[in-house]
Amino acid sequence: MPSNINNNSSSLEDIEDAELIVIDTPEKPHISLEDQFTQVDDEFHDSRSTMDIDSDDSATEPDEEDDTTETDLSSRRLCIPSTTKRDREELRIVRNNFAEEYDPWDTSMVPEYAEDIFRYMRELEVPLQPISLM
Amino acid sequence: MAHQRELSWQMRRVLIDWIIQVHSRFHLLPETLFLTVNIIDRFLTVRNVPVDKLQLVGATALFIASKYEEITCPAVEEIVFMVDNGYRGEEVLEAERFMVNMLQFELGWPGPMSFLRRISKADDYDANTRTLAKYLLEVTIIDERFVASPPSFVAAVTHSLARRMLNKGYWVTQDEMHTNVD
Repeated sequence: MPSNINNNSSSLEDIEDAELIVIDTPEKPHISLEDQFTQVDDEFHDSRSTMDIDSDDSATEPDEEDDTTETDLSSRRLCIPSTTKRDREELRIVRNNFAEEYDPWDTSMVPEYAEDIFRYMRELEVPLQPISLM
Repeated sequence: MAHQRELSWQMRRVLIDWIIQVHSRFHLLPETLFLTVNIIDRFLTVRNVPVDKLQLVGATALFIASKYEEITCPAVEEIVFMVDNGYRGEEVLEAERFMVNMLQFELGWPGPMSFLRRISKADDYDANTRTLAKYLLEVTIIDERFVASPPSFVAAVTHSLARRMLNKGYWVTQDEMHTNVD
């Protein structure tokens, strides 16, 4: 596919030179990916929105399929978890009361290190999330 | 996607749909699929991609993810075959170099399958719940509303929803314990 349509600013001389060199390979001139995949604009990164899970908005079900427009980031909200005070309290109780069964033969979970592994994974998932990559 | 000059969410959906087909044709692991989508989304977060190069980004992401997750991964020629010769092998390799550099070689994204495994353990690996939860996980990747959801959160949500759909109770408090959603 011709990816160099917008790149015809080269002078006549250049084109003649290029034809001399690539006379038997009819390929398009090579444009580096660095130039094709340009840096995204910074202002985008402030415009993220969160889905407020606690609010009751069942009336506005977001599954209308009219979303071929370009402005759809703001109209379709992202599912980012949020918690209420009650949730956090429930979580605290669960954490205090739940004792994980320890099965030393469980090779898939490496139970000795499970705590550390999952703590690390929880840290890792934050910076490697698409939306937080900036 | 608002920052992308040429792309829309609809195009992402089409791309992911195609990725799923290629992924199943190659018989790859579910982990590879999730990592592929993460690589695509992270790359699209930092770089504008022209429409005619979006499939290259997707194919290359699958190529990178396979190398990270799989024991045997598809060869460059197979990737070129899958894009129906739309891109040359050198283009795939060049895109690969460029993409891993843009991602600073950080491919160790912990996908939802690992978190789901830990939740399933608390649920004594209930087969039906686990299968349904895995299906629901795959549904989330095509929907852009989940691009910013942490994998631990998605894993907990899908497992919880699977339990409810199978009438296994509202909530296993152990689910929460294992994922530490907060």
